[in-house]
Amino acid sequence: MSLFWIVIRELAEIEAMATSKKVITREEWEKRLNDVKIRKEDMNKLVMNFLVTEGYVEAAEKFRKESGTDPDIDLATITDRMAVKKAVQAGNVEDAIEKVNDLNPEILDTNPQLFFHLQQQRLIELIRNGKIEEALEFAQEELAPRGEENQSFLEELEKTVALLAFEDVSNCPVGELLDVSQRLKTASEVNAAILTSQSHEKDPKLPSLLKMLIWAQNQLGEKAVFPRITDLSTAKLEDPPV
Amino acid sequence: MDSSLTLSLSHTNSDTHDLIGTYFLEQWRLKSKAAVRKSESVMGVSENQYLMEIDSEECEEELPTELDTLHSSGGFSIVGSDKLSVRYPNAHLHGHDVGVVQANRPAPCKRLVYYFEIFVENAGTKGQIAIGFTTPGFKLRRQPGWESNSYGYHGDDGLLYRGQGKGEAFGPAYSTGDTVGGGINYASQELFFTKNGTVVGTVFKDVKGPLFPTVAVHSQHEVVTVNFGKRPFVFDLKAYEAQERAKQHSTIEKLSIPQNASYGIVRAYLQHYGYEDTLKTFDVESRSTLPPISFVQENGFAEDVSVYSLNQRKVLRQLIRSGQIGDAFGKLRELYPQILQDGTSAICFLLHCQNFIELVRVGKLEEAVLYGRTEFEKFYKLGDYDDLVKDCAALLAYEQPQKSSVGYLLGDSQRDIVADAVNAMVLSTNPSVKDSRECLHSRLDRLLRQLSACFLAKRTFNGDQGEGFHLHRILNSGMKG
Repeated sequence: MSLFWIVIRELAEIEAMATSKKVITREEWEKRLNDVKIRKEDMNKLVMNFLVTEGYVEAAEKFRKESGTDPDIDLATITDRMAVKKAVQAGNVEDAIEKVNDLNPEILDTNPQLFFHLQQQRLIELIRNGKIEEALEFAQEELAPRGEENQSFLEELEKTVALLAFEDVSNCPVGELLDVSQRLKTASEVNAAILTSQSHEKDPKLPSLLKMLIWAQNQLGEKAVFPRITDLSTAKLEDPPV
Repeated sequence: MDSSLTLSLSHTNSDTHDLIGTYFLEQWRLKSKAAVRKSESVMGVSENQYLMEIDSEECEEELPTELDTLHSSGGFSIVGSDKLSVRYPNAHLHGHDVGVVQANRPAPCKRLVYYFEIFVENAGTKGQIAIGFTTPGFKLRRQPGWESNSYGYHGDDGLLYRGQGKGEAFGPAYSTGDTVGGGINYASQELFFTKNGTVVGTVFKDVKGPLFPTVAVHSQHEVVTVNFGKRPFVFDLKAYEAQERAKQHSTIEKLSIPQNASYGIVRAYLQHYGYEDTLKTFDVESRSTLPPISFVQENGFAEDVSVYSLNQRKVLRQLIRSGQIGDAFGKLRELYPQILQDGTSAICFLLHCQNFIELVRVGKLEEAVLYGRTEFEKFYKLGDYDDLVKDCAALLAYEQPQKSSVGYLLGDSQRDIVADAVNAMVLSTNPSVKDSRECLHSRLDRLLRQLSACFLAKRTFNGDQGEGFHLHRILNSGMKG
C-alpha cells in the first residue's frame, strides 16, 4: 500500500472521530426530562405574561381568577394600551396620538422616531382616503421640518409622498405602505413604546423561550444526537436518527 | 427523592393510573417540611422557597472564601490571620523566591461568570504582584503564568503570562491603591481581568479542569488583600453578566419560529389545565385581533385529548381551589368513579389530606381530628405516605398553623397540586389516551423540560461549565427586576 493511501485512510479515520457524536437514546433522554423540575406557578406566570403583553385583557382577568396568578402589570393599563393600538390599526392615527398623550405625554416627547412614524402613518391614511391637498399640506408643514433633523426620516417622507405620483398605487414601488402590514408595524411600535414607558418589557417571554429551545437543541446537536422537538405546535419528541 | 424512579415503574393498568397520583405526591414532597429542612442544611440559610430553587444549583458548588494556608510557598508569603491578605516577608530574598497563594477552593463553574478581586495595599519595592488562575498542584514558588496551565496578569509590566516565561501585551501596569480583578466567563470560555472596575483584556481559557483564584507577591513590603465577594466588588459584575446574557439573547432572537406558535401553546395550556373561562375569553379576544389569528390545529388528536371533559375539569378545579373538597369528591364519584375506586391510591390520599387541611383552615379542629383518625391510618400503614401524613397531622399542634413549618399546606399552591392531580386523572379517563403519562404535562411543560434538559446536557459536554436553565430567573429578569 502506498503512503498516499495510508495518509488518506488516516485522514478519514480522524474525520470520523471528529464527527462522531454521542448518541443519547430516547429512554435515557426521557429519564433526564423527568428529572427536570418545572414549577406550575412559573408556567402560570409565563402564560399571564403572554396574555398581558399581547393585550388580552379579559383573558388575563379570567386567568387571574382561575389560576390565582397575579398579572405583572395593572390590568387597567392594558385597556388603554389596546385602545391606542386598535386606533392605529383602524387608521385613526390622530385619535391614537391623542390617546397616547392622555396616557403619558412623555412617550411621544422622548420618542422622535415613534412620533415621526405616527405622523407618517397619518399621511398614509390621508393619501389612502384621497385627500391629496390635505396630504401635501401636512407633509410640507408637519413632516418636512422633522426630516431636516434626521436623514432617515427624510428618506421615509420622500418614499411616502411618492405614493401621490402613481395612479395605480397597488402596483407601484412604494405600494406596500398602503398595506395593512404598515398599520400593524406602526401599531406594534406604539404598543412597545407604551409598555416600555410602564417599565414593562415590550415583548412577551414565551416566544423568546421557544427560540431559546431551538437554539439550545442546535447547540447540543453539535455534540450529541438526541430526541428533539421540531414541531412546536405538538411538542412531540422525535426519535434520534440512527 | 428520585421522581424518575416512581415514574418508570411497571406498566400494569392500575400502576400507570397511580403514576399520575404519585407524580403529584412528588410535587408536594418538593415543598414538604423534610425537603425544606434538607435544603436548609445544605445551604445554611432559610430563604424563601423561590430563592432556594433558583440558587440551589449555584449553591451546591462551594465558593472560594479565603486563602489556602495549608499549602504554602515555604516562607515566601505570609497570609494574614483573616486569611484574606498576603504580604511578602521583610527580608531580602532571592529573585526566584515568589510567594504564591491559592484560594481555598477552585472557582465554581456551573454559572455564567466567576470573579474575584484584589486590592494592592502596598506595591513594595518592585511591585511584582500578580493575579491569576492556577490548576491544583501548582508550584507555589512560581508566578502564575510562568508554568503551563496557569494564567497571570502581572502588576509590574501589565503583561499577561500564560504558560511561558514571556508575557504578552495585555493591560496597564498596576500598583499601590489599585483594585485588580480576575474572572472566568464560562459562556465565551475566556478569562478576563479588570483594573479599578474596567475590563482591561480577555484571554482564551484553554485549561478544561478546575482553576484556583491565585495571587502572588514577589518583592519586599508587598501587601495585597483579597475579596472573594464578601464585600461589594469595585467592578460591576451584575452589569457584566447582564451584558453577556444580552449577547446570547440577541443571537437567539435572530432565530425564527412559526408566527402563531406561542398562541397555540398558550391555548393548549389553558385546555390542558381546564382553565375554560380563560380559554373562551382568549378565543373571543384573539378573533378580534388584527390580523385575526388563524391557528390551524394540525394535530386533531392532541386537541381532542385536552378538550376532553373541559367543563367538568374546570368545575372540579374551582371546587378544589375554593376548598370544597367534599363536593369535589361527590362530583368525582358521580362522573369518574374509576378514579376513586382504589381507596388507598395516591389521588385519594391527596384529596383526603386536602379535606383535612381545609377543616384545619376553618378552625374545625375536632372535626379534623375525627377525619384524620378515620382516613389517615390506612395511608400511614402503607408507608409510602408517612412523611406527608406527619406534615398534615402537625397542623394540629399550632395555634397559628400558617406560621409554622407546615404552614405551606395552607397555601394556594397546595390546593393547586390537588387540583392539577385531579385534572390529570380526569384526562387519563379518556379512552383515547394510550399512556397516562401523556396527561401529566402540557405542551408548554414538555417544551420547557426539553429546553432545560438541553442546557444540562450541553453543560455536561462542556466539562460541567456554564449556566443551567432557570425559568424563574428569566421570569424575574424583566425591566422591573
